[in-house]
Amino acid sequence: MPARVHALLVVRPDARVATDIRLDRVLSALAAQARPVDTLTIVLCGPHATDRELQRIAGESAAEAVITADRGTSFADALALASRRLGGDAVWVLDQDTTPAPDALVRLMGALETAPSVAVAAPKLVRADDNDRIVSLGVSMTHGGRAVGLADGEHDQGQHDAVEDVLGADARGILVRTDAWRALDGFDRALAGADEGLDLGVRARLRGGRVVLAPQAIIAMADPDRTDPPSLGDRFEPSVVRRAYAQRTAQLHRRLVYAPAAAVPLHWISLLPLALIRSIALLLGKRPAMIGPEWGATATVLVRPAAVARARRGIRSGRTVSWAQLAPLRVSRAELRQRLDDDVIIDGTARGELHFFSGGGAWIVLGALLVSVLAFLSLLAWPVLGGGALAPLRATVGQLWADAASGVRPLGWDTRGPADPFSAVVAVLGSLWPAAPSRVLVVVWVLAMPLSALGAWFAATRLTDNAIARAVVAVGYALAPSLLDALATGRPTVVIAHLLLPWLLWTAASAHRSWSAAGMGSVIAVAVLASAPSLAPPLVVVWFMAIVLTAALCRGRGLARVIWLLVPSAIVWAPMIWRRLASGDPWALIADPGVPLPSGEPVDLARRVALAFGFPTAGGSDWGQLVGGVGPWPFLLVVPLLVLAAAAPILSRTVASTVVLVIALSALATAVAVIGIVVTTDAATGIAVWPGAALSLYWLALLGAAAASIDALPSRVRLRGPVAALVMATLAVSAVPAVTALPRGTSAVTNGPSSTLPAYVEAEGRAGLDNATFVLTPAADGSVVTDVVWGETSALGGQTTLRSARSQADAGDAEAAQLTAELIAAPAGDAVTRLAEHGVAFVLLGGTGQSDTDAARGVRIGAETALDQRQDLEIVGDTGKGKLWRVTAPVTDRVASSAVDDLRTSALQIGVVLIALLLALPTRRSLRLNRRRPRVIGARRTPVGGLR
Amino acid sequence: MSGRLPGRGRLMTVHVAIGSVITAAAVAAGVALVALPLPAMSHRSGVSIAAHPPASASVATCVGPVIAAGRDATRAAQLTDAAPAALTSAAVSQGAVTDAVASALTTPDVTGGAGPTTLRAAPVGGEPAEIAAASSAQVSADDLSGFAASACARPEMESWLVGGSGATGASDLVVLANPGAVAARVTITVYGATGEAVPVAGNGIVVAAGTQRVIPLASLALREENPVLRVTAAQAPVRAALQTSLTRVLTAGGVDQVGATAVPDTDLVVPGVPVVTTQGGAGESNVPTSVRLLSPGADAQATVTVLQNGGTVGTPQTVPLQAGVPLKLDLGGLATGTYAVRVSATAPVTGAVWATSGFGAGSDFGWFVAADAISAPALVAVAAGSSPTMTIVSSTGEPQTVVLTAASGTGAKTDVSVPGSGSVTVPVRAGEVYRVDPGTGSVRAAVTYAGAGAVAGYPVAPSASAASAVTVYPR
Repeated sequence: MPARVHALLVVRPDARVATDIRLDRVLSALAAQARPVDTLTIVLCGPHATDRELQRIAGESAAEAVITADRGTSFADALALASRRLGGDAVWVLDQDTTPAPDALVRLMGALETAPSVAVAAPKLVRADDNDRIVSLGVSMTHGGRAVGLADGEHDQGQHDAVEDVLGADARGILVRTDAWRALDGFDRALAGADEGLDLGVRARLRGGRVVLAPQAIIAMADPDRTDPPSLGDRFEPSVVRRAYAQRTAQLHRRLVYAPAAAVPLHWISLLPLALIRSIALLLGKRPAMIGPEWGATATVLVRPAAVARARRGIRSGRTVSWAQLAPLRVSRAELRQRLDDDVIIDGTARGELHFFSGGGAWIVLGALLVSVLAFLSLLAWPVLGGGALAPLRATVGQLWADAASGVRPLGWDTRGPADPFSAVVAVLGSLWPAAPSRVLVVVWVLAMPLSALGAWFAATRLTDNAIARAVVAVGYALAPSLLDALATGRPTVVIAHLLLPWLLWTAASAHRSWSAAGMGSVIAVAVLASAPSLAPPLVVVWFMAIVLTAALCRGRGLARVIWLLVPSAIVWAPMIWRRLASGDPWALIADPGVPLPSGEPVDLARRVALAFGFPTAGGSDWGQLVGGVGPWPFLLVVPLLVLAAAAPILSRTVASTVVLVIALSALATAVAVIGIVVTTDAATGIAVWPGAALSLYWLALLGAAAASIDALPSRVRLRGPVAALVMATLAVSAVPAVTALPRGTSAVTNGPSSTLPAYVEAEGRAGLDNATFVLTPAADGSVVTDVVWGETSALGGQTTLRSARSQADAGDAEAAQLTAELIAAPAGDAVTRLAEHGVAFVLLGGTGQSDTDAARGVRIGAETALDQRQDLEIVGDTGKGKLWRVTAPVTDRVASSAVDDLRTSALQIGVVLIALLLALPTRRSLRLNRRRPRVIGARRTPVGGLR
Repeated sequence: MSGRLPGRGRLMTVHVAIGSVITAAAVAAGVALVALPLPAMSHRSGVSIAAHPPASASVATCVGPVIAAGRDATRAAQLTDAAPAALTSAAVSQGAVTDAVASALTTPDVTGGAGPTTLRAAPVGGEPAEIAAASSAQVSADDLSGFAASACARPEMESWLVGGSGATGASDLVVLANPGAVAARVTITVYGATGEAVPVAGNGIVVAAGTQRVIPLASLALREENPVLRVTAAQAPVRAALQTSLTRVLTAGGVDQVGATAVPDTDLVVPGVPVVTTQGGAGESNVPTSVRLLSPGADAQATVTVLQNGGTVGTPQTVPLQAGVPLKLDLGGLATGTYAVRVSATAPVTGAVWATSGFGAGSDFGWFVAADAISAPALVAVAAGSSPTMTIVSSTGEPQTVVLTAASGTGAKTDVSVPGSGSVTVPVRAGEVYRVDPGTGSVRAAVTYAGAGAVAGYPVAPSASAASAVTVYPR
């Protein structure tokens, strides 16, 4: 008896090519079948349901019915709609992408009729544009339940044609016995559009049916799901995301459905932790686009226990075969490994050797180290740096990180709020030497020049392959005026920003093509912006430029990676931004973190000229200190660099050199602008934002442009060497006064002190952050400067711009001022009791009084008299840092707030940095991918030749 | 379009042309950034709070009677009272006249001395009371004659005394009064021709609570023509003053009681310097008016300007000051009248002006010290004496209107227009207490007595509540 075949054709709105053509093609193929289908039912879903043209085509076909359905109807739902009309002996499942060969149905029928036990016959799906490329031929799953295509993407040489029994197959094109189809109730509608065929096969087999392949039955797939090469999952493409979601949902759903009843709750509980772990793995694998679908799938499965229960009921009701009997059909571990080995990424050959040693990079770093050690010879024995904006670090790692946490600030009477991100940078640095965190700064000082050279050399590899050009960048950056000034005057924020900037350039320049670089770059950007918030304007400008360039030149590839560069910074800064906006003081955001250091530098034309030459102070290179009467002539030493940099667009690659010059100009504009912005104060003195960090960026960009120029000089005229030597020599001469500042004794950097407070405070055992010292310092005009210092010292990481850059007094300030007035006015009253209740254990009359003005001395004597006569203060004595009194009243420790908000803030900040770090960790795969691109950004694939 | 590709040379030209444009634009942008000043945002100054300590009792201690030295030929060092001081005082708290408790301090150094009066008024409602008091004395003896007037003042931790002399003919006394409850240790630093020194007699002077000590200036600064003293107290504040008298051969040349002058500042104003004689014009050796200046800390250039009635008199004199060495500068050739002297210096300076009514018998002299700025209503008592006047100088250089109210602020009001540069002198009534209200401005003022045999004066002190405010910078 010839079996009757009922074909179900589903037309769904996910086709990108005109659906009417597809439908026409499928209908023609059906009409051309050697053995025509007996009944055809068409289901039109979504917008096609109302498409007249489609309606006409469907109506003119031989379909016994055309069913229309909603847009959101899934494949399984559409089939379920049609199944009500089901007649005949076999169901043939088709969609608009399937084009069966004329003999396909005959072959499938043949396979189905080989034995009554065969419930499902599956065709060989091949690509419509390449019939030798298999799209799918049988699907199995691992022991863990992951679906594995048995021959997906393989070249068809008949190698799988001998296989007969499989676990399942792609849903499209299969022929199913109608009784089996009815018993199985079609596809499981809880599968979101993936693994339907596999699930059907598994369930059919559990009922004793067989799933067989009919390799001779060929169906061409017009829009094969699998792309070739397979998507890396590192781009945010909607179709990739949707498919990942479907696959993961199907896998999790099947896991709950197939598991033994006792294990289902365990599986259900494990869903969320598993999603977290897989997210981390996806970050490590540089596939952040897959994280969204992962969580979406988890959430979907988590809230659908009813669907799981229904599916489990379906399996249980007609089961005749044990799971163990299905085991041989699963993919074994060995087979899996064999398949994974095929999926290798060929190691790239686009980049040559780095030539760090042979190109002179190592020698420059060594030379810089030698110069640095000679220049900072005395530093080597110092345990703590002081002077300028330097302050000791906290003594323990715990306190370092306590300073970096949101909440109570370790300065001020009662200042609460987010920590400066710079505190976290200090905490990271201090944690590098847990036994003596302050020593890290000494190391940073001594290694600043060699590390600058190293970073700049690597940054230069993004611009040029030429060793001489790289050397100019490395030498020039190690001798940058902003760095040398920061080293001499003691500005740790500028030094740290200077050391990190080249690495930011190095990573950010290749961020558009690698998640590793984007992750690393975003972490460095956090540290750079934390150390120098004034760099935010130029970095944001460059970031926008990078986004535009990526969108334009790379056609949007890597846009997400470039955007990610500043995302962690934005999140880390979010609490501070929120706080400043709430208080209506947005300018305070660019306040320099750390110890406020007045410079007394003017804001005039001379200063701006000096800035344009790269010098942060109007005095320029300070050659005037060594040779009298040189005037502004030392500025000429920078001219060769400026000329070379300006010539870059003429000589070198236009886009690259223009980008570098725009960076330079935006940095210069920032430097020129910030010197007039006074947001920080130190007692009565207003302090303008320091332009050092912006000048470091300016200098780096100038060097980059100059390197591009040198690189572009024709090698036949033999100019590279002399020009590079001229630039390096003039910069070296220009740097002599700054490098010799410490030996000559003009540096502000000093040895120690290890604490800004008397050592007695620490010795007393009140070193924790719960007790404070109330420091009164008479000022020149007879006023009093009051500090409330928590812990044993005012630490570098404990500084907060919430205090140094605030525009008005708060309630705590008023209280501290009132207490100050009461303490210095008369030896009576409850001022000390109030101090003790707040956690203040010591009162210090700061300063030695030797350089006091008369007004200050009057205040000092009065205050000392009043404090001496107090019954509730015990004189500790004169120390090098002033006269100290101990509070004899019982001191109440400060209540360290652990508000949930603070914890959440910290968790968010740490979380985003962790995500960036996970992205940054290179894997073998990402390294191999990187090696497929040239090291120089924007260069042609071959290292030689190019645009010049 | 033909299929011909542009040649390598043409590509190069286009590249150079585009590059040149970009370079020119970049250089132009750089030059513009340097040349054009960007708007600055530099208005932010430190967060400061004017904090008021809890009000304590207001204290004013007078200098006391005029003291004569060596009247007993057998005991040359003995001190005795020469003339009692007539006190004019009033106390005001919260706008109402109140009572100040007067008591006399013991004075162990003066045999049978009455001791200086100290006035004390408790705060009312958390506000310190204002005490204004001044005393004057007229002496007519062979060894001591003249008129002395001085204001009763708050004790201070540090006071600057400018006046007197350690030379022959001067018999000057440093008067230290401690009205408090704790003994004070006083150190007197003498600035003289050789600079700064702490003499043995000036080291560790103990002024017991409730007593007055009198130390001869000759023991501190013998043969010093132009001494300036810094009186530094520890443990308790003291009220330091100087009684200075002069004998020219055998003729008494005058007497005065001098309070502490203003602490060193770059802007020093001595309001109310009377010139009652036209002797000492150009070429004469005896100049009736001179200024003594000291820059204690650093070498400085000081510009001395004499002001009167809305303008400058004569040309300002600029003198170099050596750190720690007092300098005497003659202000000769002034017509009779009342002047103000303003000193602007490159470093903080202190000083006072000396003026005499003559150089013969029956003449008197006075020291006129620099006044502190008054920016809140202050009380001043006008001690008994002949034809007192008040001279007011603007601190800020802006014209201002000062309201003088008699009877401690309850009597008749007089509006006084103070010129921006220059001074104004108005007559006041002896024995009256005035309220000086500078409104929103800031002035310096002094009371001056200018007669043929009676030259004296003292500045108007800022109010107690204004003085007690502390400017605090919570960092």
